[in-house]
Amino acid sequence: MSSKRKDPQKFIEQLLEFFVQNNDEFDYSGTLRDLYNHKYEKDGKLKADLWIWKQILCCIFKHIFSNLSWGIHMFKNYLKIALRNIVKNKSFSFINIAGLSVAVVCWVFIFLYISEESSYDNFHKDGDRVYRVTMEIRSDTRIQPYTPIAWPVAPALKENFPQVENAVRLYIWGDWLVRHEDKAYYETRFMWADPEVFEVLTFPFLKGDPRTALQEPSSIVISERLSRKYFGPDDPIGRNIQVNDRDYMIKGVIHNPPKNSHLKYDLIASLKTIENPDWMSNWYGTECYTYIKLAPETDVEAFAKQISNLADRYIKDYFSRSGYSYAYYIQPIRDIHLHSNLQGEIVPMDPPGNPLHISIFSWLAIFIVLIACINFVNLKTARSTDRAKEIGMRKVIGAHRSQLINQFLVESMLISLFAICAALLIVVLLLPYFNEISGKEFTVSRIFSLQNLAMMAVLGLLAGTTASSYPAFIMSAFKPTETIKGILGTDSKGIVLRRILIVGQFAISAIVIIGTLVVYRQLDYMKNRYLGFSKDQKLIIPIRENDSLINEYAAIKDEFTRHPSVLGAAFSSHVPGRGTTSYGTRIIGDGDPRNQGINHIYIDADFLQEYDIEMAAGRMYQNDMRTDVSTWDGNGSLIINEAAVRAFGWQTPEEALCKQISTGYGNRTLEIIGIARDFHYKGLQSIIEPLIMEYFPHRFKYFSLRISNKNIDEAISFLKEKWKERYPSYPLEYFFLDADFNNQYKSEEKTGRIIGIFSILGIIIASLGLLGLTAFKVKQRTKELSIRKVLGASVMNIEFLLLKDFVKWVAAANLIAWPFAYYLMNKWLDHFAYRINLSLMPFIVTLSLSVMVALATIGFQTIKAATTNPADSLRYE
Amino acid sequence: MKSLTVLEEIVMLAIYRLKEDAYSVTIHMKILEMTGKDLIIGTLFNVLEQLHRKGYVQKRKGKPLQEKAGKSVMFYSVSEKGLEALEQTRKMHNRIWADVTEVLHKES
Repeated sequence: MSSKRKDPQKFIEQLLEFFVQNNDEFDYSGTLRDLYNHKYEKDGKLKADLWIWKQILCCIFKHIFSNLSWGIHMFKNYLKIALRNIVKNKSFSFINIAGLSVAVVCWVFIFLYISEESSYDNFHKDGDRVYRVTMEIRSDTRIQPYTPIAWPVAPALKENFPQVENAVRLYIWGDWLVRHEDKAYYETRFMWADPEVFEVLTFPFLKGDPRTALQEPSSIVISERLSRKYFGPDDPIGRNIQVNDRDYMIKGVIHNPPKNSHLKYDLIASLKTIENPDWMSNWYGTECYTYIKLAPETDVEAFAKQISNLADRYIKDYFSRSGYSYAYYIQPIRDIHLHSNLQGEIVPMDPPGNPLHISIFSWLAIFIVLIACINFVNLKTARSTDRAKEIGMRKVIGAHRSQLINQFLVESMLISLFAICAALLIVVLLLPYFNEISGKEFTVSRIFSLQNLAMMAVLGLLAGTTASSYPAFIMSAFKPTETIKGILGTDSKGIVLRRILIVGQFAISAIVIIGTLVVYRQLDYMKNRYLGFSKDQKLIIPIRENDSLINEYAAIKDEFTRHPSVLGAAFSSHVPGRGTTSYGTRIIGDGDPRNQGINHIYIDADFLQEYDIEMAAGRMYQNDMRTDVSTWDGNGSLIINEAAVRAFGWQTPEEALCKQISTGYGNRTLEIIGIARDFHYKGLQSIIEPLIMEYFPHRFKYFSLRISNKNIDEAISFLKEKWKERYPSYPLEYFFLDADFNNQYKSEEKTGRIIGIFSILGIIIASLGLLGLTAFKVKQRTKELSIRKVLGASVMNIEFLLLKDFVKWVAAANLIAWPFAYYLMNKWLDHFAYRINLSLMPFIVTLSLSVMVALATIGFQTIKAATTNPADSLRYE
Repeated sequence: MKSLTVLEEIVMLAIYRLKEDAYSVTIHMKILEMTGKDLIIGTLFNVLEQLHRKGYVQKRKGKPLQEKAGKSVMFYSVSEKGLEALEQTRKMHNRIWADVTEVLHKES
């Protein structure tokens, strides 16, 4: 060997260092170095280098390959054992798989729902810079937030604030008759918008140029689905469409607005069409929705502060005179769906979201997964004694603890995998029902999206493995000598843990069930509470064509009530549940001289009678009194509700009679002739606000007909006929008031239904776990029970012995759940102005329900155990 | 009858031929010389360890060498049991080749 050492490259040395432990026996790197030197001298550097690389790479490959192949061998063994175990204990495996898959299903559905709810308006380009401007009208007595604001705000913002990149206004009002050739329909999704609307709200265009589409007056952009509806397969661009008999030229087609947008409009017409400088310089109104786009990196908070008192610059003297002030706010467009529920919110085509419900659902999902995981842990630890011998044998043969843990993990992963597959199947099968309940439209492709599948896989595996890591840890620690001898004492730690887990499981289910019951009771209460008016048997026809009505409404009423099934009729500007208008109102004479915004509806003489609204004082309108009817020039009289009496500071309804108030358009001074008892003209979520009613035919928009409940079909066909005679060119629309009114509770109802379903699932999973545990326990105690029987215990005794234990814990779980449930449900109920008080009923019902469910689940098992012939079970001893 | 794998046979024969001077480097070179096989060092160590476990080779620690930075080298020698196994293997080879005298495949 030469004296001059030639070392291989440093890199290789380091590599060796990393891979090889050198010791005295195997001087790997030394050998390699010597051989390298030898080679170097014989064949030169290049060959020696090549040689050493070959040596090292081959070595690494062999190392990896052999590890891998052994890993695979072991894995195959784990898999085989796991499969055998699953097949051997069919019922336990079923409980685990079913529980976990149901939990995954719940999670997936809830996740879909939440992600949809919280993804509203995410699609707008630069959506993080888009805000909506809202305002509050403040007086000393009252703060009323409004979504629509005055026309000049948008231009003023653009002019005065450099941060505002753009500001656009939307004007949304009513339904419109849209015609093209022979096709005519009422379209509710119609709005006017500033020409630059698509710079801020970037609805994607299918055809046309978003920048120029609305530049001209009488230009319009329609959605794809509307284009199909009116033009079929033809290209609508450049063609005309009539909206309320006015021609609009179609300049663009947008994609159907996404489901998760709070603005779902099919027709967007240029605001220039109806531009009117007088009208649009009015700072007082609440007329248009205003969206702004801020420049990048704007200090939003500072900006919000700056614009708050914007109106002071323009109408300050009005504020100081009237005692009113306006404050402006901005809300991020992405928060509108979940967090905004103000007066005059854009007609909710789907119920506004509720962050509370989102958090309820998230908790539900977590709870249900938790319950399923608990099943996993419980069954695994309970059954650990069964497998103690196997573990002992494995250890004797030479299994490491880590290998045993691996084995159990593989087993639970396998179960998780089955559960995930089952869950996928269930999700796909249940999707239509879920869509129906939740009011969303999820497609199967959404289920199979990579994101969703990944989530399911991660969730399932995570739940399975974390839940099984505890039992794996416990079981792998068994001492082989003891387990093989069969001295595995009932591990007291395991029993305590299992009890805690069972209590936890049932406590969670109890909370959810109590919650469901309370939600349903509240819903029931809202639907059935006497509202102060009767909403039953009312058929409502919205009237679009108001002009002829002003003179003929009496005649129309006459005509339509001729059928014996039509019992009565009334006209009004609004019906309960369909909003009101609002006017600044002030008392004339003594009392508070300030203006307050008060809700207004316009009714006819029969309205109060038809709706069974009682009078607290004074009289109703009478058909034959000319002075009751309001006219444009100041005639008329008012009926107010009791809340209004209080708002004006009068002590009794009688005191309010004959007082003068200035209200309505033009601030006419009118006299109060009657006081109606309070009735819920809005849903029960809000308290009854002051209301002024006025007899004013010019504003009639709804025709309410009281129908006898015997011949509804006949009455409707009669109405259809009459309608055709009167308004041949307008289609008849109608709805029933009770259903329409209850629509306001849709969001609550939906939540109730979803919570109900998930709470049932939760308790099913929990009882599955209980079932498994009892089955196991009974099996374990077979001998004990048989001996007891031999010694003279009756079936009842044994039954009691077995049931006592479980029922005790289930009852304890309920008691633990009560304070939590009480707190949570009280918080939920606080959202309602009219709410039930939490009685003991739901709690008791839940307690008895869960005890009953527990009894039913374990009863069968225990009866089987109690009635077996002791000879059978003792024979093998 | 204890049979050896071909690799074991080669390694043992290499050790046997090297007599006193059998350690990892020389064994590797001897094998290269004998068979033209350039063994992977790791494989060589594996086989050596295997043979040691079966009791066919013995290990002996040499004196610390200066050129190895004071490290000592592990020397190998074939044990009695190993010699027996080698002998048996040779006999088996002889037996199975006994009647085959013709050239089986001409090298091209």
